[in-house]
Amino acid sequence: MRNPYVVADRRAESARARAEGPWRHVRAGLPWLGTLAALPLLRGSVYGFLGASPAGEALGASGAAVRIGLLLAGAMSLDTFGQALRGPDRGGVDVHPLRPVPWFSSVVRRSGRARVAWLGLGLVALTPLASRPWLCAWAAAVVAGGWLAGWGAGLGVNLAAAALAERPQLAGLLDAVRGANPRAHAALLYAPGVSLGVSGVAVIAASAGMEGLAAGPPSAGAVALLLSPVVVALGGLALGRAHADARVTLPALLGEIEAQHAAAESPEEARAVYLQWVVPRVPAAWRPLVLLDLRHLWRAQRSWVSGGWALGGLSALAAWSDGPLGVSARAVACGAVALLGLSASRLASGNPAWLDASLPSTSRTPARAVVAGLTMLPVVVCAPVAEAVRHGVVPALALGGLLAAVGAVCALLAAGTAARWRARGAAPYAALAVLIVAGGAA
Amino acid sequence: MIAVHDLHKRFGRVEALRGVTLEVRPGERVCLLGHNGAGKSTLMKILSGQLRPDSGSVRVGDVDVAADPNAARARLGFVPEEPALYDYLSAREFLELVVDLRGAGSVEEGLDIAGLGEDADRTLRTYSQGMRRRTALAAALVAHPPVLVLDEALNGLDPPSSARVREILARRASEGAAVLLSTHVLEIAQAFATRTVVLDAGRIR
Repeated sequence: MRNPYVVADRRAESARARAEGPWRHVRAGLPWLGTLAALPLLRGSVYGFLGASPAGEALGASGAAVRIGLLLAGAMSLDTFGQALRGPDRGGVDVHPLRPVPWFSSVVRRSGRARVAWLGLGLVALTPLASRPWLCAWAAAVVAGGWLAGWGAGLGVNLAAAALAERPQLAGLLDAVRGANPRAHAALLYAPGVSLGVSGVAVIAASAGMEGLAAGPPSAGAVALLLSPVVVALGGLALGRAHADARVTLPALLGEIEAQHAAAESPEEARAVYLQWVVPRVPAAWRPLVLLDLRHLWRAQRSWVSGGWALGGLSALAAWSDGPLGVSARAVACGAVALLGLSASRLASGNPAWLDASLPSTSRTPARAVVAGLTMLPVVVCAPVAEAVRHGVVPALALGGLLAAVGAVCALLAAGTAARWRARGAAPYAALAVLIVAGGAA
Repeated sequence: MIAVHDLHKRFGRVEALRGVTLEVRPGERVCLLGHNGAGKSTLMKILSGQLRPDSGSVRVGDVDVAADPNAARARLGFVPEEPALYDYLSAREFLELVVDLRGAGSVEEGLDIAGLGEDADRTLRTYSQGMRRRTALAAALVAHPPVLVLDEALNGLDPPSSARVREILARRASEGAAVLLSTHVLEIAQAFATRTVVLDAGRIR
């Protein structure tokens, strides 16, 4: 049966492709080129285990697959928030009657298609394993599992959060974690983190399954573990489908959240945003633009803030479980930092083009680099703290220095590409960021 | 019909609506007049389910908006003050989507209401503000819903387009639709309404 939402999405996708012309091929190709160029660096660092004993190779391949899988799960958990709750289909769903199941099918299709290239990039990053076909196949299953689990769980958890945000049964839990935010907002803020947590567990389980398969003859338990991300993805999709009708009441929910923010105790408090204390500490010419972007980040792109803390937790976990200044800690934390740099292109896409044209400012790029850098702060802080507690101060300082350097370069690059190409700057940034992450891990 | 009873809505210290009671019967063209900040948009958003009241009730076409927002939407053609449209669909494609979703209406009639002529096949992102507003109006009207709620919908239209839309709305009302239009422009209210309601500081005067 014809799904009107899918028809509209297909038409919009082709119109967009026509409007972008050949640039879209360049844009789509850049991250692939970046990943291919990063492979020699990855061979020396992430894949340094090749040539070791079979058990060592299995363990190393599993570690590499987990890092890539977790990054994909995190990226999909964040991205599905926007696709499901603030997607480009608002014109069709905000004021007209909703058909929940066809609408949800269209979101599943759209969100998967929009980011299937990320899965491809993750698989390309595994090509140094090609000389070990079985290891490569199992690692590919773990990486694909991370993407799948993040996608399915992201759609399910984000929609379920919208449906459950105002349930009285959850009031106590949400009050405990909401801070200064309205209760219902807490549910939406933490949803990408919950999705990352669930899909992360599935990725780690899949890697355990992979190690089991590499160690001996295939067992049902190992195969089941390897397939656990598929179960999470299917469960997430079922959850999302069950809560698709939350999209009907979403405009009212978001309207109420905005109204409650406006009802803060004082006008000064209502204006206060995350990390605003930084503003007086940057050069005077940058201050208005840093404040503007911080407000934009906090009010319209808050999933980047909560996602940043989720990735900070993930990086801390990697630093905790790895050896002193291990490759896993470096790769996961550098990848998380680079991923959070994409907030610059999101901020640029929300900035009116006419404002940039009519009020050009040389301070915009450094100001945006400051804000992009601030979104990376949880990773830059959490991973070295975990490293310090677990392995001592010296490796922690080394990791902190590395992350600060990678973060500074990524923030400047992200702000520069966003200034030049706005939202389209994400592609050239991603291409360069892959190289930086590979260099950082090496 | 639209039935609003004792509606209250507060944003922090600001009481946007203070016990608003209002009824728009089938065939009526009611203009909600008020200066900026009087509470018009808050009332319109509550009517369309984009915001919830603190207390009071809202019924659209005999459906309680809070209890069954999707059924209320099916009975309501709503034009928000700043309509959200698919940037990369043409007006024709967008109206096809709306006709599909509502299961009623004809795209050609919608295009006629929008009066876009040859521009109907251009993507909406290339439209002027007035053209976007006319497209949103056509989307609200195309399926002939029994209730029409338009938030400042005639603002930004050139005089011929405004006159044409008023004529279409008058025709819909004569066919039995309940029409509620908010504006802060007295001339629009005088030219359009069979009854004018003044909203001042959240109260009907």
